[in-house]
Amino acid sequence: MEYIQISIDGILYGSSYSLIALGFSLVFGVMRRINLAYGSSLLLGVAIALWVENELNISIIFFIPIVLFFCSMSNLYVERFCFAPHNTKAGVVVSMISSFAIWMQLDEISSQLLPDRTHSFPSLQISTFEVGGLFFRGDQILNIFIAFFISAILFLAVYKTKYGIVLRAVANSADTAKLMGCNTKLVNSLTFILAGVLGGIAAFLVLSTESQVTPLFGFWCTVKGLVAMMIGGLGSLTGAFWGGLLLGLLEAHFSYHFGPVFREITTFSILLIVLIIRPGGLMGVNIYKDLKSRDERI
Amino acid sequence: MSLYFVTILTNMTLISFIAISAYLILIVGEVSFGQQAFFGIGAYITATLTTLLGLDIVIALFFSFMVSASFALVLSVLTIRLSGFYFAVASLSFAELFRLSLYKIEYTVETNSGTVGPNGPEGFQNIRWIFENNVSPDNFLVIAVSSLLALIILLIFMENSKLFKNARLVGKDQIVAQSIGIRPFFYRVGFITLAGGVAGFGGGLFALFNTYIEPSMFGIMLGVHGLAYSIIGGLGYPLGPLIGVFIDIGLLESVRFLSEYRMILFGGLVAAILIIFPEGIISPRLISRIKRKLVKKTNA
Amino acid sequence: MLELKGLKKLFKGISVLNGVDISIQQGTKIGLSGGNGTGKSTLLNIATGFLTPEEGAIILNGDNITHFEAWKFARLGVKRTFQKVRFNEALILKEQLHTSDAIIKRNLDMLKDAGLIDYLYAFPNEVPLPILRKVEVIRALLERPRYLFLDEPSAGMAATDLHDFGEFLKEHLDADISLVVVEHRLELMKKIDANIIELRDGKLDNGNIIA
Repeated sequence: MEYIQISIDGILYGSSYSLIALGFSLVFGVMRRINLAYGSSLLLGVAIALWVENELNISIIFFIPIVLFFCSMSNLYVERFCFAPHNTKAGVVVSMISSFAIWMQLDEISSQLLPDRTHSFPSLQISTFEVGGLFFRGDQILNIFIAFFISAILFLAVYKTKYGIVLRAVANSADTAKLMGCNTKLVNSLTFILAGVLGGIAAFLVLSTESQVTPLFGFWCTVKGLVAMMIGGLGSLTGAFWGGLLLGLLEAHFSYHFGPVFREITTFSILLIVLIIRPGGLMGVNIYKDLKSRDERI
Repeated sequence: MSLYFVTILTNMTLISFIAISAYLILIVGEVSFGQQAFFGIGAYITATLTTLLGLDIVIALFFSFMVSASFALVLSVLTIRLSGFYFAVASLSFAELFRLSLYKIEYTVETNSGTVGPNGPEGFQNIRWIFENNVSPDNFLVIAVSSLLALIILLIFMENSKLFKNARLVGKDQIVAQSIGIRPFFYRVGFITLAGGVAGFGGGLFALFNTYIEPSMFGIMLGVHGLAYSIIGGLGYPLGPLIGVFIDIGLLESVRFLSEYRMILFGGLVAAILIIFPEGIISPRLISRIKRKLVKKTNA
Repeated sequence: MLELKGLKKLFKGISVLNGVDISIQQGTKIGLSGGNGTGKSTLLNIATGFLTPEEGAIILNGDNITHFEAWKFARLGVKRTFQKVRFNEALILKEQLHTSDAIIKRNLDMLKDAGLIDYLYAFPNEVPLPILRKVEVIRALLERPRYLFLDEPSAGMAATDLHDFGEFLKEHLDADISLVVVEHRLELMKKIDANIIELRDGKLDNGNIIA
């Protein structure tokens, strides 16, 4: 019974990871690039939204769109500043490092906007319920449904709509897509905005279950999202969803048995082990089939 | 010199070791987000050896170098199949694992100068080597700067050696390197190991200078800074990383009205510099151009 | 002698090479032709160690070297050039030869014939392609290989450049070096009197050639 309760808590908590990982996956899937400032830009979006809420004193119904708006705007800022100028093949690593550097900028602005270490965050006030002696947190159940719903919608959007075809064309080969008349710059910007909206939803849901926000939220988002995505498989939307739940499950068990520090230790151990043994992720592809040639065409 | 100025110079010198270790890894074509871990390993080793065993600073720093290098060696062999983003994230997770395990390492001894030894989240306190040996801040600065200078001069001399040229080729194009018989594995592992050692040495000095260290000092922001310094400095010449250090600490931190917004300004500055100079300020191409000019002048 | 025995290679389930056998004797010149997508480049990549075949073996002087890494092939004297010239755009050509001044001095004749002398201090983007192709050959020749594979050397070269290139190869290739030219055009192969073999549907057209 105890094990089942821990597993339930873990999986429910993992839904937050899934939500964040989906945004990562979207950007990686389309641009083959990693946005390390993703978590920080969500934090910045939330911080600005909180500041606005504080100034104008608005209700939660209007607060949600404000969060989404500022998250997508700060994500767009990262795209314009760190990714758009480095759109060549050599720019893959440069843009990753550039986003790594912007990370500290966004984190610092956010902590100046949130002067207290912890800042309360509006909660959705959904109560916990009990089924057969097991406890389920209502807000986390909502999260897992929304995560599933979003990944399903994204999956359909990417594989069944016209925008999805353009997206996949750009992902497959940006140069070819450009020749076929796709506006790749616009697609990239839209992807970042979409990832921002997605991240905004994720950030709102996660923070409302915690009912507080700290300046560490940016780091937390980036790391957990990254790990969940890499466990599931890089750039795979379903992989990101399941990866998040798996990470939550494992963390819950390890931290229960060995203490709270082991929550984080588990995260990084899993990441390191997955990278060493199966770099493409558990559900992704094996990226180096031919060890000699790596995956480069000569 | 005022104490404030000496402290800033010492900090610049110490962080240069991380910047140079990030530079060494960039030469073989990888990006490491985890050099702060080797800095931390070195710091804890030197702290332990000087306080608990009372060893001489030279021996302690030597062990800092060796132990950090060994950890780097293991990491580089384990991640031999990874490159680019995958290696970067692997190094980051290694660094965070190290930092988190510091919270669990507790081994303290009571001495007449207070409690010493790694003490979990409390950190390692009372590293009193500076006081016991009456090393003034000025003298410590001399020690730190001369070690850094020795390292840089060594690197400048090595720059024209076959070892470094081959390493740069491996970093630029492994396919061409293999086609002329260069073994990428050897250079990759070698340089990552060396970089670990360099960071560890700097960490050892840092522990002595700071007199106390704690796990949170070796967080990811230290790594971001070290990497950013060498990236904006450029990969052309070993002096590149120092340019980055100078811009951040020398300009932003020491100017009072800027220092409050240092992280905000520096983060933006790095991204802006990368737009103007994608290969850093002293890029390899710039160095080649300068060399060519010098050759033409001597021929004429 | 370099022997390729029963090489098979699949890419994503599609068979590219389907049992290729060649023996390359010391000092022979072979032209490997075939249309697009017949697996010429794959064969070259396998023969020089840049890809591993699913089946078959590569035997060098009696030793099985199939699973060696590419750098070891190069050290054993099996060298190659690239279809798309590969140079570091940040280095002058002299440094891209990756060799010492002494060796450059010893091979000054070769550099002169390649027209490289004027370009030693130039960056790759300042140098015409025919010369870059020769630089790749020189880079491979400086270390005295036993077997040299050229991957599409005539791509992007005009007829006169190709003529020059052929003359250059004839002049500077020692008699004991085996040369394999992989191409779909035949001019260069004819110019250097190579034995022409055609690759079709992942197999050699005239069975097991002993060239």
